[in-house]
Amino acid sequence: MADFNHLTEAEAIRGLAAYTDEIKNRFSHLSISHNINIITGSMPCLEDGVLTNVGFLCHRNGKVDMYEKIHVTPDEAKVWGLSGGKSVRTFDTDCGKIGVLVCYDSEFPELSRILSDQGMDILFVPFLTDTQNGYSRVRHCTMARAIENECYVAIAGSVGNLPLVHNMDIQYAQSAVFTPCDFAFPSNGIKAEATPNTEMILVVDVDLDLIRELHNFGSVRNLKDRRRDLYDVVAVKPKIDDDKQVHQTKLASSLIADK
Amino acid sequence: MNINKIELRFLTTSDYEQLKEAMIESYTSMPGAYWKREHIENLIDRFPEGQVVLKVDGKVAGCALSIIVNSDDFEGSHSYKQITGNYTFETHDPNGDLLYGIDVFITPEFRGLRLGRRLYDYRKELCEKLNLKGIAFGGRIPNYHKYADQLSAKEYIGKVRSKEIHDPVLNFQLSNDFHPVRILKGYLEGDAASEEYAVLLEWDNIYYEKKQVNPVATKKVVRLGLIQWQMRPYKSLDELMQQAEYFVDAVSGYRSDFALFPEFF
Repeated sequence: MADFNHLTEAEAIRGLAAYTDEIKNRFSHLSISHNINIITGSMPCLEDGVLTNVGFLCHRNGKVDMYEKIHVTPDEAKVWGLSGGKSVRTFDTDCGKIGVLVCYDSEFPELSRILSDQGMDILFVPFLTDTQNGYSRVRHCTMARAIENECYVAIAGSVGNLPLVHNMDIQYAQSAVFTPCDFAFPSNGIKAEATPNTEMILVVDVDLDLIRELHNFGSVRNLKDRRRDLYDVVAVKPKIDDDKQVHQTKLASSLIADK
Repeated sequence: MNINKIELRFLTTSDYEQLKEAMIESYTSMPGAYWKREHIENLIDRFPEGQVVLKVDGKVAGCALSIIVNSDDFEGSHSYKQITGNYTFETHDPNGDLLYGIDVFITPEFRGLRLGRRLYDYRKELCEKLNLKGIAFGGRIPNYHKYADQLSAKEYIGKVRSKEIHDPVLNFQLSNDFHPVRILKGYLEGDAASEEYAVLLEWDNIYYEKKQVNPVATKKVVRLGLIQWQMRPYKSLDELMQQAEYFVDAVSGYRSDFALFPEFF
């Protein structure tokens, strides 16, 4: 919102964080009144001086779950002083188990593997990329996530330019739904995709039974055939106190850098 | 071979004479081990959908006989005699949860046409239709007698799996997505070729669902609404949310189950 354009980027994003709670409540209301589960993308969240990037799964039954961006890009750390979240988990919905990974997190295969071990059927990836290079990283990584975890992946990004808004001035996106590449799915793994860089919506049906068939009878069975005698991916419990300290130091140093 | 018509039919008692001939032709290693008329009538009477015959131009080419059992009753090792209730089929339980294969064969004349697969496919469909949790049966290992002095039954199965040893029956089951669960000792009396060993094979019905207690079922076909959001400057939160509502309204108008917004929209 333009009110904050005169501030430094780090101050502006903290100003925006003040709206997050209100936005969450309004989305939850919309999810009920429109009978639809909403994944609210993401927004800044400021708690105890720590700035994180969070989003909400507003279920149409009224429940609200929160997810966090785990990995912070160098730019987000430098310009905004953003810290990474800690929780990696799937959510039960009336349409199966889903996971949400925000943008950069989709480029770390460990996270989606942990989610898929929890039984994820659909992975949602809200993203924001400035150039085609950034978009390609998200696109190719999320296509890989669909194959290696035998799930659907839906990615949605923003488009358009915002003159005078620092660090959010340009965006590039081509939203899409990706699938594994077995016979029951498109051979190129692309179920549908939007026109690049144009405002639009994309409505796509995905059949969860096909995923179940794939897990058991697929041409390749990436989840079943893992050599767990040689390697494993497990979530590590974070040491809360230490982390908080690290967050605060990081935040302080990046604020100094901005000024 | 000139074939004009292959059909899968429910077995009827009028098929019995032909079926008897087919059984005798098929089980050459165990002469006299064919089902008597009263057994077949009993099976048809108890579970007509479970008994099917494959006819090639009107002639019986193969057959599959099944019952439904309660998996809890046969958890551990069991023999063929036990599972069939000493051939009375009193073990058949219409409220059971496991389709159990009693017999399946293709006559020598029609082997090599993958007709057995059609019988198995029927069993799988029946299992899904009746919402049973899977199919099980004791599979014979007819080449085991050749190796019995060198290999344990377990080692033998391992070598069949790794394709070092050819076993026509077990190979067929494995390629039809059945997996070995355990070895059954003394399974079928008089089965010398298998040294009376059998492998308990199972196929899991991935669509099996326990009886519903909750009226809300999880959806199978899910509609996703993706919002490729155009960045615009907004003067107020209300203005921003008005735009968000516009999109929610649009995708929900198409009865989407999910609306996905981008990062930091």
